[in-house]
Amino acid sequence: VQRTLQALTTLVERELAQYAGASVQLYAEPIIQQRIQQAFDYIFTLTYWPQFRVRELKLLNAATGMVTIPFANIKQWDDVQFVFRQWSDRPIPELPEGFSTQNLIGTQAQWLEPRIDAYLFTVYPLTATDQIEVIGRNRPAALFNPTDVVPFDDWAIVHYAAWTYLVDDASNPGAASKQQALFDTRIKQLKDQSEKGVIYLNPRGAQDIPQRWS
Amino acid sequence: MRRNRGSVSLLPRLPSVPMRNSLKPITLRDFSGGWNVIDDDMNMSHKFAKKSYNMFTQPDGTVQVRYGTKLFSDLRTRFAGGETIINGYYFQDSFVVVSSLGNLYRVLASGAHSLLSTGIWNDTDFVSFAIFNGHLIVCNGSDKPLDIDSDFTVELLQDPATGSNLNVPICKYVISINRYLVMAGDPLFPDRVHISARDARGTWFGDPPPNDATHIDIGSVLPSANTIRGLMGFRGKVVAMFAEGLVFGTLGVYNDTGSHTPSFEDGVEGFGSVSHRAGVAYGDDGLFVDLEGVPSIKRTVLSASFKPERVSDLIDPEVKKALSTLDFGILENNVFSIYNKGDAQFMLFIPNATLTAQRVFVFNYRPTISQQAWCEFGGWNFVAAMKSQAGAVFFCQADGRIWVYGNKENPLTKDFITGTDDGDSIAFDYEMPWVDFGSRVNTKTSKYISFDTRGKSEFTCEMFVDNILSEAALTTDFSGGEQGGFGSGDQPYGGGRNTSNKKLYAWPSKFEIMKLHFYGTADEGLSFVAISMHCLSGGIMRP
Repeated sequence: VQRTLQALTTLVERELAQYAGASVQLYAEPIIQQRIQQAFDYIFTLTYWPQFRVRELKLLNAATGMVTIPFANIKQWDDVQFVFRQWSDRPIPELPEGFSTQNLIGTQAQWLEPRIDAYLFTVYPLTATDQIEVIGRNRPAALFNPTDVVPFDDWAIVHYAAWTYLVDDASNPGAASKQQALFDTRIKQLKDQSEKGVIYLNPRGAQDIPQRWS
Repeated sequence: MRRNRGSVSLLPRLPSVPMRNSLKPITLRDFSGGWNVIDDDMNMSHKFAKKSYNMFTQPDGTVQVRYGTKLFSDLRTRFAGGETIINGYYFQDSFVVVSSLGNLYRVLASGAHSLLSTGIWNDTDFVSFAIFNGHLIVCNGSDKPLDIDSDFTVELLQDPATGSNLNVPICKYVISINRYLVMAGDPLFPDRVHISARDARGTWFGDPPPNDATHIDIGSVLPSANTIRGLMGFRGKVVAMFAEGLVFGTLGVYNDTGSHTPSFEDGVEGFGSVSHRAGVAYGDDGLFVDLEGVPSIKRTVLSASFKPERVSDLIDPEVKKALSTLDFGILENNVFSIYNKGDAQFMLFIPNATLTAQRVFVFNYRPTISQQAWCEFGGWNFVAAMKSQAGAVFFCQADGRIWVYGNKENPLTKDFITGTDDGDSIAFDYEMPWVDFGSRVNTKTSKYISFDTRGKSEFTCEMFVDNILSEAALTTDFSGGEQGGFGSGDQPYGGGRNTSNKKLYAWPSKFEIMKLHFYGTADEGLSFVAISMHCLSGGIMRP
């Protein structure tokens, strides 16, 4: 279940045996909410969760190796999972750091090099003209507000936040270990679920994916 | 610590160094020291308070918001324009109240009132009382004394044999002791003590025999003293108060010719008094007010002599500051005190120079359990204090209203409650000294705070850290532990942070020393029993 940041805060407060409720914990709430934000950010980057997956089609500008329009949903290079040329199922690889690009010529994209701006990467050769498809994950734009729904499993986030809070308290190692174990277990369950889909084994050609079992 | 292998773990693998630091609870539960402005609050036990306004110390070491007041009687309907209460006294079953026009009023236990006399006295600004053989004697220093009979008949004090008051002295101060009526504050003889005939309140020096009345000038006992500021009867002795010191007198000494020869030979310099109305005798102790603070005398067990002490050492600067702006007229007429038996409190009322405001220095004094704690009350501006035979304390407001002060049996939680007004909340302010939890230079990381409180009032708790007073590190509003939940009386919006709830309230800060400060306006009572914090103890280095 996905809950608002405030609802998650209340759950964490109860896990910590703190007095729960909006604005009751004047000093714990900002800390707990930061732990929740931290939990989400960590979990978000733990793997490419299918529910955050987005695909964006872009044209290369054939001059500087950049796409013509910056990316809107994929916000940083870390969130790029695959980049494909048109008519290809083989991802364009990342340019090795010891590889010289000065003799690269042509119009077909061969390499990617990360950027820090909204164009995300530079394609080599710079004169590549392909249309590309970029698969990545859509990271929430900013820090969550109390009324924002945090788009991930509530208990995974609650256990993570409670665990990190309890570790800092140093009051009850057993309680901290419990939260850690619950988080580990829950996140493993979720990862297993995320990997239940079909694994695409033959990037060179069409694969016979069964649609039904009769 | 056994690691959870084979699953996702967020923490990097740590070297196998044992982590032993744990959260330790620290409880502060002794507030018995009271207000202390002498010692530096960086080096003061936490049982003392840097500020204790409208909060007094209970004998069990807790600290409580003072009681409120409720209207007992209202003389305003009887008062002429500009008429004010000067003083009052409990007599028989009633209070006798004297006004600025010299009128006397009787106030019954029901609060009903009647005029006792008018026109006998001129305008007056001071009144003292003494009960002698079932009569209430009233003096003002400008008119002949009055004599109130047990049936509340008011007449001038006079010699019963002659029916004359020719020799009755005009004095400000009157006491009764050892079968004598004693007066002083004679405007013509400022160091003279007048002593009546034995068992005869109206027979004074100069009246025909049989008459053993006398007078004695005692200014020479203390070389620097010349004006008696008050009298007190204390353990069989007459205590004549000079600003410069006290003189002890023994009555009932007769010479071979049968003349009364009282002895005033024992003087104590440096421990004086400036106000007859501020002297209080209670048990083995007598408390006074001089220009420096509150001296006391205590009768020694072995020699029966008097041992002077200065009980207000811890707050002398504040008392001196309050007294320093006042002239002797205000000191004599408007500084007064009362001993509140119910809470064992000596309450000293000191007005400002314009009589528009008042500070009340309160000494919680129970010698049998070694309780000696000061605090300050405020929010009042009374002109007199009285107490009934049962020990209830009453305060007179100049305009004619008389208020009863709360006590354990009737714990009024607001000030100035009337039949139509549920009263004013009582502002309170309690500031603890800096606390280092036993190690001055080690850092402490606080995590949680909790309270044991009584009452239902809300309060604000501030914590200052590391001698930085410009801004509180943490500030939160809490509610008294006896406040009910939703549907059970008033709560602050959202239900408040009830201090009886044993769930944790976060209190995150890092410090070497810390100071807690509580304040608010109480309307449903509040007392602090204990304050607990949960802290991690650290090293001496600060990041």
